[in-house]
Amino acid sequence: MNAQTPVTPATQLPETEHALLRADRERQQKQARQRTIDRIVVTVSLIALWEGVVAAGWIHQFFISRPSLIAADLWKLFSTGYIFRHLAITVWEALAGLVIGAVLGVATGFVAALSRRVADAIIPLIVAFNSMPRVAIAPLFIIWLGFGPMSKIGLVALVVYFAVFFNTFSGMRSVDPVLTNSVRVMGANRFQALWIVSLPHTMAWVFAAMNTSISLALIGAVVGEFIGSTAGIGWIMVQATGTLETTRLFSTMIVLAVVGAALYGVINWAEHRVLRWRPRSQG
Amino acid sequence: MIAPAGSVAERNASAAPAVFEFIHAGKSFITNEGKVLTALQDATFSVRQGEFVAIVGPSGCGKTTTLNILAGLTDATSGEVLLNGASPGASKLDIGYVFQQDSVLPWRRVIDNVELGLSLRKVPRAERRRKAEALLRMTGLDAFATAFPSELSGGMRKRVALAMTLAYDPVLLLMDEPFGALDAQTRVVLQDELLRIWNMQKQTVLFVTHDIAEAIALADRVIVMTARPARIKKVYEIALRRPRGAAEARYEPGFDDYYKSIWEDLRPEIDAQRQISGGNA
Repeated sequence: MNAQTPVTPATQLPETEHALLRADRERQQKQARQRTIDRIVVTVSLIALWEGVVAAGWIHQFFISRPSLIAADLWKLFSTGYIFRHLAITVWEALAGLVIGAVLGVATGFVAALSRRVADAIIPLIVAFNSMPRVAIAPLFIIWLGFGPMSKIGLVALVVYFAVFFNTFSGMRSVDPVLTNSVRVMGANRFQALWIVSLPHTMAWVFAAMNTSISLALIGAVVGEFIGSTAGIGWIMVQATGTLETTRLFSTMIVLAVVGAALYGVINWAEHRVLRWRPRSQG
Repeated sequence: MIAPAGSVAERNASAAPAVFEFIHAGKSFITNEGKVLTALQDATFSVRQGEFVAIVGPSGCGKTTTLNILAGLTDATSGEVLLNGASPGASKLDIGYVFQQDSVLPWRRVIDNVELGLSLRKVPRAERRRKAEALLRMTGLDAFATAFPSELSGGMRKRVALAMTLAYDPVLLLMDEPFGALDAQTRVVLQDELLRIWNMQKQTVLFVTHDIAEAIALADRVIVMTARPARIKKVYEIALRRPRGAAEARYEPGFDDYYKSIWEDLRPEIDAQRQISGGNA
């Protein structure tokens, strides 16, 4: 699997090992193919069931819409270009809030972990804030920052901040003292030891927080839009609720799911690049 | 800077300057339960340049504390410790420390780990690379230069740790049971390599171990420590011929005698330490 492991180049392996490796690879490829087929079968069956239940009149389409209608609505949203402005706003709110929350979380988490006194002073406060449902603060952000994207960015930043702060703090606290001591004996000063040991170690923890934060960010942006907005995917959903358009609600949910998965994929890719040193089983 | 090689007797007679000395030095901690625990008591000994000294003692007796004091990671709480004539924290002497635990940075490739000490000393990139590559060849790691530590075995990572500490030519090499976690065969191979490197470069080595055979095979002098609070019980001059291999040293005439008397010194201390540690050893 891992191409850069210079253990034994494949060309030097005897014939039998070659054959074994080939058989193993073929078996794995076959399993992967089977897995893909199974997933497609399950998904398509569920969609067909949904369509069938509505077509047979067992449940009225007013309540659960139907896949064919949703597909048509999605086509309309994208072909007319109607959705792009709203999508851009929601993604912008989520990403801007994510970056602000993450930067603040890493910075304060780092400082808190460095100073026992700072940690002792602020941790109870942060724990208290954290135990409050964070979306409950959304109405205040609307009052402070208005109906535009700023209030959603603020809300997302707040939601992300806590996740990143705690992970940065825990990461810094879990640095192996042997590594720090080793680097210090080699001649590193305190600052260099932080840079060489604590920072790379903590990166793994920050990425773990980012993985959960990306979905939190999207939730924060959409919930903010529910509460008060003039545009965005959440705004479209509020409009659709007002006019009882079930189909529109389903198609926007699908859009959100795809956006969330794409953002998650980007973070995951970045994590694998930055944390290449970790054994594969952990990744 | 490096004392000429020769027999033990010659080097003793040549009175090389002491690299470090412990003068009635001791170290006490306050434990989490609020009790005072003395790890080291009234230790007086000195080690000359180029000397290979091993410390043996029961597990948990405070051998590591001795190394940590020299490394400047902790201070003696009584007496005095002089490293190159100064207190260890203030001394500018380059020290290499091979820890008992894994101390290779997992996010750096092997070669970048080996270069770390040199880059901290602002050695230019090309020279750093050249030196690291030479060290990797010397420690048999050249095929693994670009591997991450997680791809290596425990023995390989110990080699990396050794190469890391040798890279910046430390005058004093501190080793804390460096081969303790390895299987017996790998251990002998690495002991041999250490002896080979030491024979070429003649660093001063302070080597902590609980393995008596290892101490005799490697060292010029073996210091036997008592149970906690650790005091120096006895010091043995090992007059086996140099250069010697770690495995072959065991067949040298005299080896068994050293082993027997050190073991007899150590035995009651191990029992005493087990009493102190609650017999959970």
